[in-house]
Amino acid sequence: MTHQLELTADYEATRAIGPWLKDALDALAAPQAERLGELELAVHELAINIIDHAYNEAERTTATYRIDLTRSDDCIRVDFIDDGRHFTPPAPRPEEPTVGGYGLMIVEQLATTVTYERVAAQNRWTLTFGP
Amino acid sequence: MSLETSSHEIRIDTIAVAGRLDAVRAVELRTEIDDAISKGIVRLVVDLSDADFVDSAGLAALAKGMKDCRQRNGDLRVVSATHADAARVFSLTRFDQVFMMGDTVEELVASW
Repeated sequence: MTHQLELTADYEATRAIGPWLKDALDALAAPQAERLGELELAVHELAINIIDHAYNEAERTTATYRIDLTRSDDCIRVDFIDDGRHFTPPAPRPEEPTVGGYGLMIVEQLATTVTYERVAAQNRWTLTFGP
Repeated sequence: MSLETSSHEIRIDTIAVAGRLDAVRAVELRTEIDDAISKGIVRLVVDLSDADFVDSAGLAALAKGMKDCRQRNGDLRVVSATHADAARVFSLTRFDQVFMMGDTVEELVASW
């Protein structure tokens, strides 16, 4: 069964992610429910990344993106689909702490796998979380 | 021989953030910090003891504030979050080693 959440591309809407994620993990009786905080931060950060990079300020008022969550054995898979601009990987991080740009670094530490592909004018990010 | 005594006061402001410090509230925090700095208040303590979620946008607001304060010979110091979902972003990014952090407002005020 796939749990879906469609959100407008604005920061305020990302506050729906935590409660939706909790309900989905509980409904699936997923062991990852015990790590809800970690999953919420990873999913939230990727959503922010989509808002910031796939759409400009004017586009965000009408753009939407979708998050799909499924369980396969004890693995949770979270897919993000948007039709914004193509994602460009950021430049390598400098040694000194910077003011921003930590979103994907956080996601990569919390998720088991992180993949991105561009398919038919859509961005598709997939995170997986092992048990 | 003459003795001359003069007194100096330093001002330290505290900003307490309860609940979520996410991309939505990071904008408000930036404004609050910028307002303080514009008034010459460059020693700030941000109290996250009652925060229950912090994301990278919230962290960026704190980092920018710290940078701006330090450029003016001040600093922005952080009372550590007690909630795991608020503390997590600091350890993942190692900003817990960049900010001066403490357990209470009093501890950080005394650190100046």
